[in-house]
Amino acid sequence: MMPGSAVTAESPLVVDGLKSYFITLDGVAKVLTKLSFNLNKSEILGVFGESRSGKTVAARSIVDLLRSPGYVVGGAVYIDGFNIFRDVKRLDKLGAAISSGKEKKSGVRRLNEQEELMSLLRGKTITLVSEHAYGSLNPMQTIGDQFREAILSQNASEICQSIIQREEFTLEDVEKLVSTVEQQPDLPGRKRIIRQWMTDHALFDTRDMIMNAFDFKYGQEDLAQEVFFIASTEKMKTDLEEARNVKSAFDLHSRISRLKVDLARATADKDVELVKDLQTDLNNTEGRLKSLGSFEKIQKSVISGSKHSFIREIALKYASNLLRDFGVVDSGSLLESYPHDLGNVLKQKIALALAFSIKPKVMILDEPTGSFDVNTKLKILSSIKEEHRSRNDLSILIFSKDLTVLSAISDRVLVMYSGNVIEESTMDVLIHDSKHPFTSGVINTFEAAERVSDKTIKLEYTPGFAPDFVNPPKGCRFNPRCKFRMDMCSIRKPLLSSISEGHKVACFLYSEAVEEER
Amino acid sequence: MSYTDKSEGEERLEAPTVTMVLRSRQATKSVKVSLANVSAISGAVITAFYLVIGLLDMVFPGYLGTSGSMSNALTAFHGSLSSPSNIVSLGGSGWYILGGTLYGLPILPVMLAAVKFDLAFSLFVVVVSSLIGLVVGLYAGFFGGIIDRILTEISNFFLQIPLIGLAIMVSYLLGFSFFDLAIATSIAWWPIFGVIVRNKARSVKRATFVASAMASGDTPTKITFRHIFPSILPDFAASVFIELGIVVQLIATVDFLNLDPAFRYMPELGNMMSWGVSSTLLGTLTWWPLVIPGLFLLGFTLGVFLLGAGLKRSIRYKTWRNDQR
Amino acid sequence: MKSSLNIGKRVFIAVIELLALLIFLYAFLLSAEYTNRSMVLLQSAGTSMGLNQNSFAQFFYFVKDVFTGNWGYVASNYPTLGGFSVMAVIGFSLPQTIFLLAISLLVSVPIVILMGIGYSRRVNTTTRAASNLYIALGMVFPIFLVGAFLRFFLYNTSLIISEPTKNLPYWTFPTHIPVIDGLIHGNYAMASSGILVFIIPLLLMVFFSSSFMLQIYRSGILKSLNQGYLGSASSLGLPRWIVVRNYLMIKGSSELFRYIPTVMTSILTFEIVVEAIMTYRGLGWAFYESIITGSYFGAIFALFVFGIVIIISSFLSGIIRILTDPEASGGELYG
Repeated sequence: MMPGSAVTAESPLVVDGLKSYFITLDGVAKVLTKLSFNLNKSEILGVFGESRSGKTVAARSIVDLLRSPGYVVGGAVYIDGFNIFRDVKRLDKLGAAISSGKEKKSGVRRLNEQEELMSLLRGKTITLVSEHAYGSLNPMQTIGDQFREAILSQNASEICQSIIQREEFTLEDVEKLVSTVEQQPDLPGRKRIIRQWMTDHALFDTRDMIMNAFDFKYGQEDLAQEVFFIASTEKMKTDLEEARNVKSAFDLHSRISRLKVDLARATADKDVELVKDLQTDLNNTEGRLKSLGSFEKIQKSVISGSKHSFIREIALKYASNLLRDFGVVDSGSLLESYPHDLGNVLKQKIALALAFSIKPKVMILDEPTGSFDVNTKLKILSSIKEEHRSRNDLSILIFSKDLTVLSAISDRVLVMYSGNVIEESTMDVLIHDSKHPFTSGVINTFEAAERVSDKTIKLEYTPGFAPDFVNPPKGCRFNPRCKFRMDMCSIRKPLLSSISEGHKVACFLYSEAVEEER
Repeated sequence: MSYTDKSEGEERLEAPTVTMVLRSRQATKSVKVSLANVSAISGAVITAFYLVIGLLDMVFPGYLGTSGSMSNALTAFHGSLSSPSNIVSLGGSGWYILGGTLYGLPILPVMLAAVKFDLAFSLFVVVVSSLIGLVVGLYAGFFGGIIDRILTEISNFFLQIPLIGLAIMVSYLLGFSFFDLAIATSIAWWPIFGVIVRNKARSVKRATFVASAMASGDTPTKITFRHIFPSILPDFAASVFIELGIVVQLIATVDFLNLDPAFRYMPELGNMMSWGVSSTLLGTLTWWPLVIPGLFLLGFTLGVFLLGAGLKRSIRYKTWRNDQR
Repeated sequence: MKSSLNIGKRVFIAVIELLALLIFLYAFLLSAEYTNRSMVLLQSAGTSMGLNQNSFAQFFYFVKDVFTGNWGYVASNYPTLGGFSVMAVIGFSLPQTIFLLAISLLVSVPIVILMGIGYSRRVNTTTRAASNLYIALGMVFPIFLVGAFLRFFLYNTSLIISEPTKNLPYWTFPTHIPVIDGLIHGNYAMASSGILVFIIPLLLMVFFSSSFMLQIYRSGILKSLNQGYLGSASSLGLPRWIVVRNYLMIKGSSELFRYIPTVMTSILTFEIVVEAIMTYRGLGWAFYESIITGSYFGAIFALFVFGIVIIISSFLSGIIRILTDPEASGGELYG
């Protein structure tokens, strides 16, 4: 997997040979050893793995939120083409030190630099929703406050843009909307377009009325006029100057963040010319931002100050609307409540909505449906799917130990076992034609369990437990539990190889390719 | 305590985790890990030094040249209340190598004897109160319920009492003996250990591997001793050592303020310091009767603190599942 | 609805605590009577303290005396104030203590918050190490030792300052706080002596109180750092000032608030020791002198006042917590 090449346009996230180790009392647990996969643009990629397959470790390693005693010690993670673990020498040293039994801490300065860079990427570019997300809400803040902070830290510019567009839209714009809608062949698609338009124009209070207008007056002459009339009632004649200033400031700030990331990459690539150019660009942009005033002050005043209240209002309405899409009906006091007043299902939906509200490019969801009942799970999944559909550039990586969850929304799926990807294919192919013994075993159990009423079916499950990471089995880590084990399996590890279009397996039954020792 | 309490019901039984493999080896492993820790090693050395001094006269009775019971420095070390007022300076002959203090007493041997009394007091208090705290805390942490509530109320009550004020008051005005004071202090001290143990027990209980053990049908007592006990050990041991230092500070303070006539002339580091600021010395530059016992006391509090803090660090190497939140 | 129930609970607790305090002090009085009845009788100066009744009835007399201000007298060998009523002695010394306490807290709290922020970075930095050292020093050094050393080297050796209390009258009027009274009377010598008398106790109080409070603040922040919601704040990409303010500092402060009774107890303990060693004539010093001179009532009521301070601060902080802290659920009595 070569860095940089055709990767950026297609894959916002590429994981290449990721290695994460844990220091435990019993020794070094080699959880991830050369984990590799691509997440393609706009796709939903599911990762299936039973307990202790390294799912959560992988999720955290990808966003560099793995904490002691866990460490990323090798490999690369390309977020938007930028390798966040570009300091290969340091990682190798760390890995060597850990393997030899001594935990080694890198220079403080380096780690803080890394943290600063990651904080530029996390949020807008990539975000992680952890397992048990209902526990991840700040107990000391109201729900509304948490949305306000999240939305206005990452999306202030878009909010301002929507405010400006609301104040400025004309009848013509509405007419254009109507014709776009008419060109859409299916009803859900039409609704999606309308909803998106309304959000882009900061229209929240009149949402239902506008939808009704489309329902009743669809195809009629005066539809555009009617909609324009309704929507205009939300115009507030607010001061556009303020909104524009705030928008410019936040736009400049995002540009600076992007430039910093590009600069870091150019420095790592040792591209002197590019570094010079980027540096000049960065200096200029920072200068321009400074001329608008202290950005932190602006940010603080937007998020929690006394001015710009209309911006905060819209942010909260946006949040309420998003929550509605997740099936959370706000009786009015939800945004004022604290997390501990709310039930777990509600909190889970809120946590997911929070992540979606910042509109990241890549989302990593670790068990988003947790242990809730089937109906709740399906509702949550359909909300996620809908959100995904209404945006054209969101890529989602979902980790789950529940195959039903993944089958409901994934396009493609990876199967992880003990820190490695052992099979990769589309969802369909996996269900009907899985190749790896572990996967087939799971699918069979799955199907057998579905036919629970037939008492003659013996529930065959794969015996044994997931292996210990400290002393994993030699060769293929699944071999002790495998019905089809051959001699080769306990000596060398099979390499993940293509056996047909879009279907890869790591198993000696299908390919002799062997993973290099390293 | 933790806001995640509400999610307790949601946690499912999971397949055995890495920690199950670790559980039987935790006790020895944690000792191994803590020894690799600079703070713990230096702390252990210093503490051992004081312990040896304290026990020395049991092995070599009379090695300090004392006669009679050591609890009265005047008689044991041949001092006298009407001693001449010139204090022997540093570098004196024989036992006066570190100088002399009030009453004509030599500093070094009295100091060595003082360690014994300070240690006796604090070891008594800490051992008694930590054992009580351990038992109650384990029970409260694991079973919860009414015992837990009672423990919390009692410990909150004791945490709100100014212990020095009480110690001072009861010991002076009621004429408590050394032993009485030790008992009273133990009664006041056990909740500190109880709370530490209980909190750790609760968080460990929530850990998956205990749930797995319960699923395998062990009785609660077995679970307690096999799984929870080793996990609590580092936190508990660390607090034992740190409290040793704090209790010594308590008795030294009480003695420094000359508040209990019963132990006025007892060799004790706080007492020695008070001899060092007695009125006959005020306004002079005779610093060693005050400073030398003071530094010796500091050495002890430093040693136990280093040892305790070092032991606390070994907790990081416990399990990895629980830390990944 | 929930709030008023909780507030009711706190009132109930405060009353129980008061009762416990009274019972304890009464038990002490009984033991004092038992060991030294004549002294006790002398110090009650023959007022009807129920000393001729049986123990049970006497308790009610005791409580009545407490609330009517019939607090007995100090022993005759009490320096300068021998024979004065305990009320007067406490009245003379309380202002100094409050003055010292108030200013120490005012200085300590910002120190704690500033040093607490050092824990917000992901990796150990010098600020974090410095804060840890600050806490460690507070635990390793006994407060009396530092006070004794300071007093010996600063005053007794006459190298720096001569003992400031020598330059002041025993009591100043009207507020009994030398600095303030000096300023009121325009007596700058008194005011400056007042400051000198005050400086070392202030430094001692500030250092040890802030070190102790930092311990608690730190544990709040560390609890927060270990929780999932901090990780989610990172993954949402929230700016650092939000994370520090709304996630870390808030948790640190709420933890501190939650443990105010413990904090107050420790601070008052420090106060007693500092006043005794530095001869700072506040309530702690009055308490100490009562002990030394065998003034039973002096000791009892000085401790009573301290107890009241703790009960009130516990009550108030509980109320404030109920009204502001979302995590203070109904179930816990002490929060």
